[in-house]
Amino acid sequence: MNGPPVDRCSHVTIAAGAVVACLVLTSLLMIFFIAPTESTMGDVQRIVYLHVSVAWCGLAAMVAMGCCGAMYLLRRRIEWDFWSQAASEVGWLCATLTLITGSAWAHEAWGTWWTWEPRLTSSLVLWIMYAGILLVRSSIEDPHRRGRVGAVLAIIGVADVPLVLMATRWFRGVHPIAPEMDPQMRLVLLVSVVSFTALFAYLIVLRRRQLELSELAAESESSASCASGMPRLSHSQLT
Amino acid sequence: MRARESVRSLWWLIQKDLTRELRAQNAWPGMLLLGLVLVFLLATQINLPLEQKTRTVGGLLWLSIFFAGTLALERSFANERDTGCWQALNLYPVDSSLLFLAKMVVNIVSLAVLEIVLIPAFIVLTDVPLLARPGPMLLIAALGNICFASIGTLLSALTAGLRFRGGMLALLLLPLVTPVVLAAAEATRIVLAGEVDPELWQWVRLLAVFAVVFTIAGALLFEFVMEE
Amino acid sequence: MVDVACDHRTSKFASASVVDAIGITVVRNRVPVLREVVLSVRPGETVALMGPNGAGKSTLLRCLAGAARPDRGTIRWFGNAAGRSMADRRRIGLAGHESGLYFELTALENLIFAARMYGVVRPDNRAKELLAAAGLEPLTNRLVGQLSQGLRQRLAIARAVVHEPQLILLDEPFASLDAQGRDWLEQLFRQWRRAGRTVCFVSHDVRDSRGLADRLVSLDAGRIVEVEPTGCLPAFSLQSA
Repeated sequence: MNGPPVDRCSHVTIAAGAVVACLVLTSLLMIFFIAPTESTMGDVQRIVYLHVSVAWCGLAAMVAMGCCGAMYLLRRRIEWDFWSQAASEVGWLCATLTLITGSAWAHEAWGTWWTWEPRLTSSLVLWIMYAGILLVRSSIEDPHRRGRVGAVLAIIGVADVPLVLMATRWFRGVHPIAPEMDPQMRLVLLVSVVSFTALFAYLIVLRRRQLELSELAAESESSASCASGMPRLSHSQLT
Repeated sequence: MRARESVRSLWWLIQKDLTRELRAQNAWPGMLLLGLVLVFLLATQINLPLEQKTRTVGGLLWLSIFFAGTLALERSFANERDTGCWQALNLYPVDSSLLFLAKMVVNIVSLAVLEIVLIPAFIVLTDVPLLARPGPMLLIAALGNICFASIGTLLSALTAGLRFRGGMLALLLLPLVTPVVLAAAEATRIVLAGEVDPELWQWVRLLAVFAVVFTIAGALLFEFVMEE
Repeated sequence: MVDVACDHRTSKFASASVVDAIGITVVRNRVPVLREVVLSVRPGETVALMGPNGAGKSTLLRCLAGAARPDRGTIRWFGNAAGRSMADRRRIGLAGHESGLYFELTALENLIFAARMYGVVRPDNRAKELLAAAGLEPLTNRLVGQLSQGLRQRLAIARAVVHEPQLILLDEPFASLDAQGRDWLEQLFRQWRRAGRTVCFVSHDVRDSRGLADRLVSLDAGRIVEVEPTGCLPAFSLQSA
């Protein structure tokens, strides 16, 4: 368990982390120093680059969670559930940041911290979905039962998201129109989306590894208390 | 032959649950009482001119149905688990999708019973003529019930064996049925406004899509939910 | 008579297994409940599963019924490598720890419902016949919630065999039964043996097990630790059944 595969993993992880850090740093520099100042809202408009990036990541994490859940149901290998759980935790983080940045922008744009504007409303619904799924997962001890329940919830969540988006947009009579953006702003937005996607993907990978190690530790503890050999997930089965 | 057997099995499953409910009344009294309490509380708070009340009452009606209906949904699997009947259902040579559809139909009936009580209660307490156009209202109620029952049945089965299951079901359902509550509330508002509005059909279509997606999803996923 | 009984049983053992558990491992909450269990039950055989509490007997029984999914290993029913089909489900009956009965329905309604689900041809007649055989006829229209534990146990066993399954799985069937109930169940075991049914039951009572079973399979900490053939059955003869 503490042999070479773990050392190789940590070199790759550190290297990937460095790349992601550079991307995020580049994105932040571009947001604050390269993106032009918006004519009506001024510097406050720069929140949008972060807001759109984390909102996109929140949705992508939901889809990832659903796909990993489906794979778990089909293959019944616990590592798919680790991916699903990692995606749900990072997705919840993204949904939280979406609400915070969205509220900050709303306060500057409309003088109110909250409005039932469709994007904010659907972000709130997504946040509650994530919170519910995480709460249910945390109440189940058995890893395979947790995987099965989590997978079903993830698949339902993914199926529901488009309906939530449609309903909230029609509710407020807003039809999706791509906003006009300066080409430089568009470039900064693209870089921002790519770099934050890389960041959250990296967090998912790290969290998945952490979950896998926690599970191995929990199994070892269990087998020690059973005081006899027990079948457990071997490292080769997990990698 | 197989289709006929399936329909017969479906009927017997539905009959079994309806008989149990009518005899023991595990879910309906609590559901109806909670619904009436909610209607009373909400009606006392909306002290508005009739026109404004008419615009608001659709949302309040559907929220009341949601919260009271959750009580019935929660009970639909709780007592199957308690006496080992869940295991027995799993062993019968009956497709899990039939088990799901049977429970879903029983939950639709429960919601219909709730609406039969709550809608007149709202009419009496708010003076809003909810049944002025009964045809469209019936359509909205029927679709809303199918939507709510489809996803509620699946989640009720999923949470039946968990700790804190009552709270879990409501917490999980609330975000997932947001489109249903919004669509049903908006469609009700449009019907009450007396408009022949193409926007009404947009909401009705959303309800229909939700109903189809989650009935199919429930039928396919139920096998995984039933597993032990 | 005893020799005839032995030969009768031996001739059945030549066929393929009714159920094969191959390398079954079940882990619940990270605790191994069954560890690579291998067990084959032959047609017409009666097997008793024994062992201390927590040995995995009930879990193994549930796996053999298809009610619990093992984490590793395979189970084959009636020689079918593709898993348990709907036809296979009709040939298996399980009476588990919990009754599997609806408390809000009467004894008769519970049996009729189970019979219908299993596709029994005349469910009403079959249900009445079983109630009479189990000595529960006076309680036909009594709600199950009003019955005592012992009577519910009899009804649960009746429910498990309403469709005349070929593989009968019973979890501590003698628990809670009074003398009349025990006699009825012992008679059932004899009938099943004559009809060539395969039975697997969990028991804590060595005497009962030796008297009824062809094989005693002992489990401990999720593993099979001993398999003891009981030989011919001295306690029963086919003549007395």
